Amino acid sequence: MTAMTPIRPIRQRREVLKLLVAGGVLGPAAAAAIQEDAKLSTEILERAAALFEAGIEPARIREILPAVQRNRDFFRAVRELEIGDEVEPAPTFQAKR
Amino acid sequence: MQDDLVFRPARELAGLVRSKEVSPVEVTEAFLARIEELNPKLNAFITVTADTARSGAREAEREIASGNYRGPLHGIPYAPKDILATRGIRTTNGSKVTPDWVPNYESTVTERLRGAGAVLLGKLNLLEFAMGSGVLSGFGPSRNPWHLDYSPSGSSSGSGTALAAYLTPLSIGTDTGGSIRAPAAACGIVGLKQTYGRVSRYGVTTLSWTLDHAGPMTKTVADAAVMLRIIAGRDPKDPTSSAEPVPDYEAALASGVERLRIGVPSSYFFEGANPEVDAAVRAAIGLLGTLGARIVEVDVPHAELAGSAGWIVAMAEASAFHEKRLRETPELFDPLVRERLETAKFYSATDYIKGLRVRTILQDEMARVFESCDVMAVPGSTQLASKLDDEIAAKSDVKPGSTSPAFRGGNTFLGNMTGLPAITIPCGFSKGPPELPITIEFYGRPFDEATILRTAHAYESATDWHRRRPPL
Repeated sequence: MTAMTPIRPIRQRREVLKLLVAGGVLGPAAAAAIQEDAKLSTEILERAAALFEAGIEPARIREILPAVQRNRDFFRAVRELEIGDEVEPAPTFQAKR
Repeated sequence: MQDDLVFRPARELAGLVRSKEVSPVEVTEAFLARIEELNPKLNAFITVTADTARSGAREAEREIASGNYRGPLHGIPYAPKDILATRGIRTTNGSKVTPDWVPNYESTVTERLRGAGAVLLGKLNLLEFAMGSGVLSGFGPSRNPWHLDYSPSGSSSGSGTALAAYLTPLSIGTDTGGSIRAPAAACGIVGLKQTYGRVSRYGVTTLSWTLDHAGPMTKTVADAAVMLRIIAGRDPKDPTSSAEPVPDYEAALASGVERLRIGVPSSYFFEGANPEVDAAVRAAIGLLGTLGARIVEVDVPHAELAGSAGWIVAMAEASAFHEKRLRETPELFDPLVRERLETAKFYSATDYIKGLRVRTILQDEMARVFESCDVMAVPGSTQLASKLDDEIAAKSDVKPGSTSPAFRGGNTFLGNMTGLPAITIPCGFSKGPPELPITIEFYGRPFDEATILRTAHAYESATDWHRRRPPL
């Protein structure tokens, strides 16, 4: 079994920032940055598609934008999870008994 | 007698066939007649192989008559999800992308079932490529026998429907994030996803190389045990298949649950559950307690990440697998499949690797869980079967006006992310109308299918949920 340093509970950075903005600790610029960070646009997605050579037409990008946004929100907990350095990926099943 | 045959579990049919009280031909004809009567409204079968079935049944009859009985599946009909390659028989993947594909090879699972003398009735409907909407998949939706306006869930939708409606006694489904167990939950049947590597994936069209499993879907736990023993074991054609010895699962069934420790998670798995589901699953756990099991509390701290991390891994791999087809014929895909494959192009390599690291975390956490229990019990699904989507809603994962969470999935995805065996069985029905099935799911240690089968069998033997028939 991999020896792990404690994994932090899922506490998203965004939630902490929101609390700080709501409490007046951070100002409107931080609030705007959070908002901007959370929203994708067709322009952003078109640039990403070009970068990844995704081969998706601009018209289609407009159609899938809400789904990409939804996935991004859904995956945030995974993206923001802090994992100890010693936790290696499991490319496939490992029988741990 | 012939009408009655379709309502008997495979193990019971096997007894009748072996003793020559009933011929495999009679059994096969009974199921073919029921398919002819009910499939038009259920859409469970994409292809019915009546001629193949009849000739297979006649061959089994001859062999058994001459004293060459092959075992408990000899002369017993079955139907696999139409994502397992069958040599010379159309294999559609439930998709207009591959509607007329006739493989020139056989999946290891169907090869082994054929070797055991099982009779192929046909190929069963599914959500396209095991990840579509059902409603807009290549061959239309299967319908839930408990109420035709409801979904049988998926992706092994036709398998769930066909078993619940007694169109086949046995099926093989596939499970990448819950696609055996979710239709088992929606249709009130038995769905077993064994340990990753226990059963060969050779000849099963890929959704995700590292998460896919092919496993038994049946009416009873004993039938799942029989089927698993036949399809399990090392296969040189699948490098991820395991050489772990295959025990006699059927022999283990009688052991009961006395002194078995059943873990009940204190967080995540029951959260947001329909109250009727919550009550039925907890009652089922209570019953196991009265049968001699010891109930202990356990915790999987990162269970809620199983669904989201699993989704990243599954869809990234699916997008890579379907890259060429998506580039050449995107318009032929179910719109939901197309959306899922295209959106996966925006996951980064870092996202994927992080998903694999979450897999390590979950495997470690489950190893700790099994230090304090032998089986972990959770709801098969926290919700009852839902109505089939309309065509607008079916097109996208973004549902207009919906405030429900995007995707939960952890109750089943945990099994795929950890590779651990899990079985879903009926444990109740909602009050209705309509009355819809409720199920419990048991997780076990790696390669310890025997213990979850034994637990499930003990519960099933003490109840009669599995005997209920839908109002068809």
